[in-house]
Amino acid sequence: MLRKLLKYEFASVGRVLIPLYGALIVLSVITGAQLKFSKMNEGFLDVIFVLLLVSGSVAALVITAMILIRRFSSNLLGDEGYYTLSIPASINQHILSKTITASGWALIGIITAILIGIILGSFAGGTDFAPLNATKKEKGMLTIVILEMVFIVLTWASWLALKIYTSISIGHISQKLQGLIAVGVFLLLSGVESFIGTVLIRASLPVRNITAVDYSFAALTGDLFLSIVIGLIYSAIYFFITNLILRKKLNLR
Amino acid sequence: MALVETKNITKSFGSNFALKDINLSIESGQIVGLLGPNGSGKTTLIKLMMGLLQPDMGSIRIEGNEPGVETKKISAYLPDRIVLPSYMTTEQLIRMNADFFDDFNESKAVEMAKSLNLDFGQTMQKMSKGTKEKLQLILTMSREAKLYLLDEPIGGVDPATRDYILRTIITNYSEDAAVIISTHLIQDVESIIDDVIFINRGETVLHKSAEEIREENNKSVDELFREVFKC
Amino acid sequence: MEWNFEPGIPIYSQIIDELTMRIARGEYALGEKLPSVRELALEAGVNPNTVQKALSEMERSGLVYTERTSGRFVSREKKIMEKLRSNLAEKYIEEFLEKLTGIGMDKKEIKEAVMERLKEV
Repeated sequence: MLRKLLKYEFASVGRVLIPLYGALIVLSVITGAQLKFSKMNEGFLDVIFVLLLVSGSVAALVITAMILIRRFSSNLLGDEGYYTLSIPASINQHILSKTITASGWALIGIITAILIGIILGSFAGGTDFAPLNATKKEKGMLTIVILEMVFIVLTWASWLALKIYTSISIGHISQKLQGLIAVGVFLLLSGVESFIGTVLIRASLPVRNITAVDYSFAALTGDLFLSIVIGLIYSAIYFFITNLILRKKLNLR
Repeated sequence: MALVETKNITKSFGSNFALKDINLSIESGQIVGLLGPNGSGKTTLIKLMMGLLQPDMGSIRIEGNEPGVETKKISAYLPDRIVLPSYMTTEQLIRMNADFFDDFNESKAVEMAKSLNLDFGQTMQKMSKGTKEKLQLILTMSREAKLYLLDEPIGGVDPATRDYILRTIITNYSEDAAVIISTHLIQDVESIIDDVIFINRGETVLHKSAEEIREENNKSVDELFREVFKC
Repeated sequence: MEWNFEPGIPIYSQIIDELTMRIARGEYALGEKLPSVRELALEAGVNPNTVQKALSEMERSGLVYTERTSGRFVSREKKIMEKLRSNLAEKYIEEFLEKLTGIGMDKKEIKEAVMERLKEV
């Protein structure tokens, strides 16, 4: 069942994001080419394309966020919820499918951004990829770092998504001003997280001196690992709260 | 064991009671009319049976289970509004329902769609309201479920569609299944319901067989309803 | 789509009346197989349970019978048909007489009017 939910979640989001990201990539190729091969008097064209690319990227970011939020607020708690929740799937499965979809697409979005950067970069003439000349050991370490980066993105995206879901769910409990309450709750939760963060840092966490620019490989990995763990803990907490609210306090209008 | 059993169901929203102490027992093989004026609690009761709402007090059992994953497998729900994703086509919606519900009869759905002249490639958002309602109806009635919950299926449809809906309910009839039709338009469903549940302001006012009502009161159920709920 | 039903009378008994009439008129012949419960329910626009109840009643009065695997059939016994006809005839005659005496005709006048009418047949 989870697989089926995921299939439709991904497809529903991909319907919009695939053409969007695709267009952006194409745009970046065109922009890159334009910048590289532009004639003297085409300065304004350069500017236009760059502006298009920048605003397009910002728009893509906003649209991505909106779609992923709507998958929860609308598909689960709006009119579509009457259908979605009539499916024989548990609340856990619903929340999980949306979280996985959100973090998956966040990752895809970031990869797209990196890809655009690479495209522009290669047009600018930087095709001597240093990584290709690295030693085997260095390549191995790089792979591990990249993997950890992927995990961080996925974990932090889940964390953010679940925090948003929790906020929306709490807003849903009230009869009025649900959106406003959701935003308020989100800010509150973020504030609480910061507070906890500072408390933890002050309480003797076995972290070496933060100010030391000591980015040995081990330290870097340790930091990343810690980030993942923190992200997972918060994700679990928000998952639990969202699940609880949806099971006990659901009230579709 | 009855197919659906509700015991002391109470549900309030804020300070008003939507349902007060509802005790019902519905056997399979029955077509039940849940009749009452707007705001009487019919939709709330149906949502409770679908697990879309939690009762404040009391319990609901469908085939012995609390509303949840297991009961959703055997319940087919037709809400009183349009709830399907607007960007999907008829064909995609049929396939999605076949995917999510094991008891979904895909060929039946296709057949019904054809008989209603639905365009398989048309998206929901391009359909008229009537067509959307027909599509939702087809998808619900193509389920081979044990419990059908139809919330106001007839309000606002044209007579031909109304006839189609009633014919589909009769054709679909099975001794293993129960159909609960909630409506305030009793005349339309009068002849197809076995049992009648009158509900008003959250309380059951009456629960009898339709024939008994006609025999005892020398009136149609509709006429009795109008008397009972005279504004 | 459906049959027209009187509001205050149980539907099953109205179904019995209609089916009985069909048999009397010969629309369902002696020994003929009746449509299935579902078909009748669809035609009448009623709940199959109601049709079932009507048919069970008719079975009890001997008008129809069930053959376990094949369905329901109109009775084959001529005696039952004759009784049906005579019952219906009696009922119609009663109604007829009630109406005519209601407009003030006496027995002699009624008899004459009927004979007159029958001559034309």
